[in-house]
This record gives sequence, structure tokens and C-alpha cells, in this order.
Amino acid sequence: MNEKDIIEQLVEELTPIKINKGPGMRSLLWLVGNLVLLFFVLNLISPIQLKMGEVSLHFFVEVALFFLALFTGAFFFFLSLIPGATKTRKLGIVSLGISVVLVASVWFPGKIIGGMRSYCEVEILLFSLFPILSFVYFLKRNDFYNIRWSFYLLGFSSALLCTFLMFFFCTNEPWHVFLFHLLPVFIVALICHFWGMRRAN
Amino acid sequence: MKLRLVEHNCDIMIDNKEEIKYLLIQTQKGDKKAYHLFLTKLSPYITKKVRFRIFNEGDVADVVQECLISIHRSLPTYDSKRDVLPWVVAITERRIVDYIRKKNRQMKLQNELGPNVTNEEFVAKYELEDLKILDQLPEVTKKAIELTKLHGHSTKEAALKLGLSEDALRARISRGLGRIQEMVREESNNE
Repeated sequence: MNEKDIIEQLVEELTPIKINKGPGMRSLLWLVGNLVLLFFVLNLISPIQLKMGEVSLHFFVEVALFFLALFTGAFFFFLSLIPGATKTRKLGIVSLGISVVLVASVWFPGKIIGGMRSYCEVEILLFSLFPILSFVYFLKRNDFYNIRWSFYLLGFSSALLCTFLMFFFCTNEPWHVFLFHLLPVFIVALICHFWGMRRAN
Repeated sequence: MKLRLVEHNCDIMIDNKEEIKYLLIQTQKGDKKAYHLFLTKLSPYITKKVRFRIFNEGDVADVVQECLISIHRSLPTYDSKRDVLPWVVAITERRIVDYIRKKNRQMKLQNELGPNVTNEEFVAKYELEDLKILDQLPEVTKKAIELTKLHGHSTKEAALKLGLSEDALRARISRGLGRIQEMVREESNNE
């Protein structure tokens, strides 16, 4: 089949295209959908521990920072699916940047709220599958253009979504947050990163 | 208006970026005429870009076709607020990288399997009932296949005999084998 035939065939197959929503809107839909779903699932397993009286400005800033990191991760993941919208180096810097900021933020603790649970890391590893699968719905037949960092962000955002919810269901004690909330995020992100590397090769 | 773009030392002519963008927007609405024009105008640009990175003419055509198919699949991802060319270039680059990776994998496999393929296995593998099919290949490719696959020479020896580098010889063998498979397939389809 030569080039002309291919063009003819592609033209023949053309139907009106449903244009993908922008990365901001897609991230927001993905975030809200998964947050609501996982909130209810986690609440069924162990009820919410946070009491309104305990919320301090420090806690609010911490939550806002994690939410921002979560949104940034998801936004850049969706952005990386648009051909030519971003460069691999930029994706790498953003991915590592938000990872470093989150790890650093843990070591500025405020008032410790909530009691420790021993199974939150398992929940994070397990429930990160929900957001990963829902990403697949948003992807449809999308090609990847920066596959390694896209996959890193896919794993990172998915696991971070569960970690974010741990603010309401678990403690914010620094070592616990670092070992049992943040490390699983990086484990999932790295697994996805290597998965992307395998796909790329 | 003619815009002249210089990318990677490769002069590329695109009549009018705005026109290309307009055609793509119309394409997204389902306009087949605009799509035809869009692909026709874009394919020389893609060909030039591919040819700059891939030197084998036969493979250039394949990669260009892959790019066109990829553009077709990526139509929902184009946002009219963005420029068209970075979008096209990203898709083209991706297909070129995929092609280079695929070729490297093939070369690696051929290096691993090459010495173990005996004459009978080779003939059976490619369903060659007679060896006349080899006559349809270019002379050097035919000689390369004969020396390495039928007469048992190593790639180094065959490369020396034919005055080619080992890489060039492997590329010729790989292309030749691909062509033989195509011919055998075509023949069996005709039957």
C-alpha cells in the first residue's frame, strides 16, 4: 500500500471528531471522581478520625500543598498525552520537583492529629489501582509521547490521591507520614516508571 | 505567503501554517475534503523530516505511513489554541524513535540467531520451494543472503567479500528477508 492509498483510506475512515477536554478539566474530573469514591470506601473500612475542632492553619496548609501536588501531577500527566504540548525534561523536573517538595513538607509538623493505623500503606498500595484504572478510561486510545515520565506521573498521582485521603483517616506524625504514606507513593510511581520503560523499549 | 522553517538543519517548506491549522480544524468537524488536503500537504513535510533521520528509502515510506496513521489516531488530541507543527513534529518524532528501537531490536535478534540458522532451517522458515525467489532481490542483497544464510559465511566474512560494513550487510539481509516473506505471502494469496 503506498502513501496515496493510505491517505485515501484514512480520509474514508474520517468521522466528526470528539475533541478531548483540556488537561485541567480532565484532571479535575479524574480527581473529584476518585476522591469521592475512595473517601466512601475508606470510610467504610475505618471511620474518619478528623474532628473539625482539631483543624489548624498548619493542617490546612499541609492539605492544600498535597492537593496542589496531586492536581499538578494529574495535570502534567494529561498534558503529556498531547503531542508537542510539553517536553520530556520539563516533565522530569515537575515530577521530581513535586516529589521533593512533598518529602520536605513532612518535616515541618504542626499539631499531631489522629491515631496511627498499621495498614494504611497496604490501603495506599491497593487503592491506588482505582485511580490507575480510571486513568485508563480517560486515555482511551491515546498514544504516549514521553512514556517514562507519563507513567511515573500516572503512578505518583494515583497513589498520592490515596495518601491525600490519609490526612482525614490517619495521623500526620512525620515519620509515619514519610514511611507509610509517602514511601508507598514512590514505590507505585517507580513501578509505573519501570513499566513505562519496558513499554518504551 | 510562504514560511520557511529551519529545523535540525533541514529546510522544510510549508505553504501556510494558518491554512494547515484551518484544514485540521475542519477535519475535526468531519470535513473529508479538508482532511485529504491536510494529509496531502503534510506528507512531503513529514517525508522530509523522516528522511533526515532514516536513510533507507524503503523504510522512509513505511515510517511516513506510520506517521499518517498516528496523526489520524491523534486527531482528538489537537487543541485549536495550539500550533499545528509542534503537534505534527511530536507525533513524527515518536514514530521515528519507535522505528529506530524496532530496528535495534531486530538487529540484536538477528545477531543472536544468525549463526544458528542452518540452510535447511532458512529455506523451511521462509517457505522457499525453490531459490528463484532470490533472483527478484537486488544483486547485493541476494549475494548477502546467499553468503550468510545458504553458504554459511559469517557476517564479517560476507561483509568483506561484498565490500560493505557489517551493519550495512545486516540491514540488507534484514530488508531482503522481509521482502522474501512479502513475496511468499503475496504468492500464497494469489494461489
